[in-house]
Amino acid sequence: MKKFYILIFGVITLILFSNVYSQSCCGGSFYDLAVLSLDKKALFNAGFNFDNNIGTWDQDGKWLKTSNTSWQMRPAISGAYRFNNNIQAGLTVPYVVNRNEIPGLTPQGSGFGDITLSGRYEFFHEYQRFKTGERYKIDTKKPYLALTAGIVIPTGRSDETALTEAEVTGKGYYSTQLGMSFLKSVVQNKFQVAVDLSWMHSFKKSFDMSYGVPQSTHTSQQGERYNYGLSLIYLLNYWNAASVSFGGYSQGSYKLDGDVWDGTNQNAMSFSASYSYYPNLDFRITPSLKWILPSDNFGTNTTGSITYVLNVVYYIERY
Amino acid sequence: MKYLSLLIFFTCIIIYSCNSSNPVTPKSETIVSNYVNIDSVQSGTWKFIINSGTAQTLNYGYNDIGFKVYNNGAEMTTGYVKYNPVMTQNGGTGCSSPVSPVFNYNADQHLFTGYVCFTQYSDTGKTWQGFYDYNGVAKIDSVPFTVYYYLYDNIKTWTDATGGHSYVLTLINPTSPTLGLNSYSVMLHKTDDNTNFSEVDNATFGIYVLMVTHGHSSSNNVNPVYQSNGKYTGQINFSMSGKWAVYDTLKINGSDITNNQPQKFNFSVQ
Repeated sequence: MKKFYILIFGVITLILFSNVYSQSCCGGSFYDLAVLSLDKKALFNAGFNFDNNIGTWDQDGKWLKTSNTSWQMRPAISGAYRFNNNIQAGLTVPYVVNRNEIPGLTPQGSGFGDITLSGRYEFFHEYQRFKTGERYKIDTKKPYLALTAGIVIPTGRSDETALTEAEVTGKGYYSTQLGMSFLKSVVQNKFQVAVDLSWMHSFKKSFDMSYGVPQSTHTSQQGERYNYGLSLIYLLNYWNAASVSFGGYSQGSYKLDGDVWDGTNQNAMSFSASYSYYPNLDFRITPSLKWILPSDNFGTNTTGSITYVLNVVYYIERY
Repeated sequence: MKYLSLLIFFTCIIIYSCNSSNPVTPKSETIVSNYVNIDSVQSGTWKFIINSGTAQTLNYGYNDIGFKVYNNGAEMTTGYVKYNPVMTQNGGTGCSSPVSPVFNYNADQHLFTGYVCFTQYSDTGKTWQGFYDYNGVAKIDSVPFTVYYYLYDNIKTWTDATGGHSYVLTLINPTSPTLGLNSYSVMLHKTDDNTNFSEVDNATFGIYVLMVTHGHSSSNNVNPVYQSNGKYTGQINFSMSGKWAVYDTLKINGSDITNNQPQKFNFSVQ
């Protein structure tokens, strides 16, 4: 049963981070990592995100409530595979449905979004067995620690070829992520703390079209982005668990035609709550809620949204 | 069972939120159709009453102007008015601003209507004077008036390095930009001496609308095309709240008169 506790902690924590980071604006979302615990060989995840944009923060951090209806719905299929004790990889394919009621324009559009490939190298697992002499023991000191990496492939429709804002389902440029994931039990089988940090780099994009209209050739590149997240996880019993998180990001100013546009740096903070129900060892249902504080100084130059998430996961046992 | 109920509760919240929508009717572009009396000048039996269709005062940038003309108390409803605003700086040589060549009588407004695009505002050492002419029979000269600074960015002046002419690009709309589609109207004038300005009717516009905060554009923008009297009208889309910029590249007979440095108007959308 201890193994089951470890499994439940690990999965909740690792999946939760992606919700904490997520801030979607002007296209698809960032990473939705599909992560396996040590005992699992593979997973298939049917996920559903609903992002309701409720406002923006301006350059001075002033909160401006959005007056039009603007939301994004992202059903997504994910898969992950564990190669050995240390290495796993995942893939997420989202379908994006946008509703953006801009007066005079078609309000709704949809299409496949940007595909995410992710992977991680796990240095340690909590409570992992190790051999000492002829006997096996459980290591109670080491935390879970992993190096994480990912890449977003711009397979969605960007603002170059989309005809309205509602048709935009992707960023239109490649981005990569490199980070660390840390998790440690404070009270064994009951309470854990997790920290996740990452750096995201977006590659330069060259374009000569904007919403289907030819333009002179321009280049643009997003600033470097740094994500952070802190989670507290509580296991209620064998079948149920809950967690709360605080996270956010900070992003540098973007470049347009090689020039840095001062004052366009972004940052935002958000909170998440997640609940997981395990009907059995191979099946998990996790609804989550992410929210922001719609007040001044909780973000800069970005949108604020409330996100509802539902993940239904099927696991294949490793042993 | 307790936890299963919680699960159902969460799911209901998600389903409910998917059905919610809040369509809104956008604010229409602010158009002041009623002229207001802002000043008057009188000499002998003749009186000119100056009205503005854009503000309570004469302002830096675009102004809709309407004149009422009286002689011995009788209102003139035929003919024309010519108006020449002249600015002198520290008593030096005067310069002017783009202005309607002639203000014709508009029976709907009961005014002699036209426009002035003030390129300078009154300041220390900068003095504006008005020269009024009704039908060539009544003239009132050198009457001081004040041009106030308008807070938003609405007029651009530059010299075409190739052609050697100076140009004035004046924003008419939007003055109160709203989320979504906005009519985009500008005027273009040419001058070689900063005294006489002519309306340009053969320019080609190419606009680029930039969401400054995030570095992307928007859909359904329409390049302004010539209407009449130096005025060009198109369409711009501010698809989200925040700071926007509209870059205008102007060509005449295929030659870029903006020196490959598009003129820019800034907007703040809430």
